[in-house]
Amino acid sequence: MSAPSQNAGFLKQATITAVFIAVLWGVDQLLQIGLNPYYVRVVVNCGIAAILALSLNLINGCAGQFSLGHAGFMAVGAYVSATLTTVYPAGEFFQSPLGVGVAITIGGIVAALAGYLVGLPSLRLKGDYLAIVTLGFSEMIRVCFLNIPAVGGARGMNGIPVHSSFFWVYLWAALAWVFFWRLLRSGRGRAILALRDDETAAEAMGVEVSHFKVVSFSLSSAFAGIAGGLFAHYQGFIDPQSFDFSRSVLVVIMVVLGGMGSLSGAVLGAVVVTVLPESLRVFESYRLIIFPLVLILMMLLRPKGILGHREIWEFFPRRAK
Amino acid sequence: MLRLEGIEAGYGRCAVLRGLNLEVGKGETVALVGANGAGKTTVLRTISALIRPRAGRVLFDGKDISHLKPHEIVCRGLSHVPERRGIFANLTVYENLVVGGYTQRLTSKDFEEVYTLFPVLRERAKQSAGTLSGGEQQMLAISRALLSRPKLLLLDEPSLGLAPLVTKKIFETIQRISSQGTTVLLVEQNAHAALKISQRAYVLEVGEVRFAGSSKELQANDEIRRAYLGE
Ligand SMILES: Nc1ncnc2c1ncn2[C@@H]1O[C@H](COP(=O)(O)OP(=O)(O)OP(=O)(O)O)[C@@H](O)[C@H]1O
Ligand SMILES: [Mg+2]
Repeated sequence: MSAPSQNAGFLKQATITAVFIAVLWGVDQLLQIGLNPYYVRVVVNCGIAAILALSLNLINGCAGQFSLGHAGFMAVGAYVSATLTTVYPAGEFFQSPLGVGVAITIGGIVAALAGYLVGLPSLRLKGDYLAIVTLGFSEMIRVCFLNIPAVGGARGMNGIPVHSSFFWVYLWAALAWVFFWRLLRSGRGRAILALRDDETAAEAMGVEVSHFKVVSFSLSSAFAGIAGGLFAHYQGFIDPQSFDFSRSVLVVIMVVLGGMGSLSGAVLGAVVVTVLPESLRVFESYRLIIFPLVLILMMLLRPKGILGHREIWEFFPRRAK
Repeated sequence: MLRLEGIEAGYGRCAVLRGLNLEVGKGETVALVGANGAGKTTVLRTISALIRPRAGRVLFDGKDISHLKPHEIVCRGLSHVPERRGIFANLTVYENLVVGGYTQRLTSKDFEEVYTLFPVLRERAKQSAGTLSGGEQQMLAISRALLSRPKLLLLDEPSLGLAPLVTKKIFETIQRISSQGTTVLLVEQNAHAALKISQRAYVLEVGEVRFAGSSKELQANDEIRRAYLGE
């Protein structure tokens, strides 16, 4: 590609990014004035769920591993960032919106390290066995936080500065989308996808299987940690219960429901799993029965998830020119 | 180019190869034939380090590669088309090829080359590989291996489950690949065809070389005709 056209491409991307950020900010302002706070909360939770689902999709959907411990990585991100901003606030900085952003990023990095550690056993384990190890790991993390008095133990942490908002959550969600999108369309991404179909053949093609397994675990955990940080700084309160087994299961449901390996599927799954229980509130406690029923029905109707392996726009073929 | 010296290998406690010696010269096409379970696949898996030998050495271009990892071996120019093809069923044909060239910097010229070899792959480029017919999958598996620009190509039963006409086409292509300078080690049940396109051959029997010699000699050998060519 020649230099001028590269420049033009860069300009175009920069413009799109700027417009996108402006729109996000504008919507954020509108939401604050216009919309019932309860709905805003649901919309923001959808964004956080989308980041979780997009990231788990890399391990469960693309690399063909089975992790049941996503809540654990989310907890790492949440606790690390909240500790920075609340328990040991390094001066005023970590109280400011920018500082909170930095704290959340650090939470993501620490979660990535945790993901690296959990990725190691995944070199030898598969399927159900791996699921049990990751589940055990996330419970371990939860119990750790439960027993550290400095982070509130079972009472949890209060008074976390509330600085994540619609704007920040959706900015990170967009970043996660772009990141995973570009990853999956790169040579490395294809190598990760190849693992899912045939590990031995991938190895015979020169793909470093162990390297890619660990890398997908770390990348996925990084974004789970960021989702955790956003969650903590949106709620203003976290406790170990927020990151229990059922949250990991919910994220798996989002990925499976949306369609393994499909990015738009992950987002769709996240929205369905977040909005559905809310919209069922009119049924009061019956919703605890109706929600699983709806999920079972959906899986019966579309056993490969709503979108299967495909992306949503592949269902609307462009008209031939 | 490739030399196996006293290779012993197996799975768990079960020994499959017992002191196997084998050599492939530069530019040659060498066939490896033998009954089911003789250990042919195990030989190829040992060469590409998918399993580790318990004893013996694998020399490639004069260097011992038996301690290397599979991806390092691919980088050195050795590519393996596994038995039953091992294509990535959920990836598209194009994506399969991309993974095949994972260790290389591919240009569109590389894709053109394999598309010329197998034009049907160009038509199916955007289709997911699992929907290809058996023959097309084999073509894909061979093309995918070629994209790592191998000096030595290991083929494990490329004719498995294919109609005679398709088999013929595959064997012609193997000859063409070999005539373009790639060395080939070919494992086959279809001994007739394999001996026809190879210069030398080994006959494997329960983990040991039973016969070795030029393919012409083996084709003429009565015992081999009876045991492996069904005459
Ligand atoms: N993963 C494995 N675990 C245990 N034993 C194995 C494994 N793979 C192969 N074997 C055994 O090793 C022996 C040789 O197998 P191999 O696949 O090398 O034979 P082959 O010559 O390729 O046969 P075929 O022509 O049927 O493909 C067989 O007895 C088989 O049972
Ligand atoms: Mg075999």
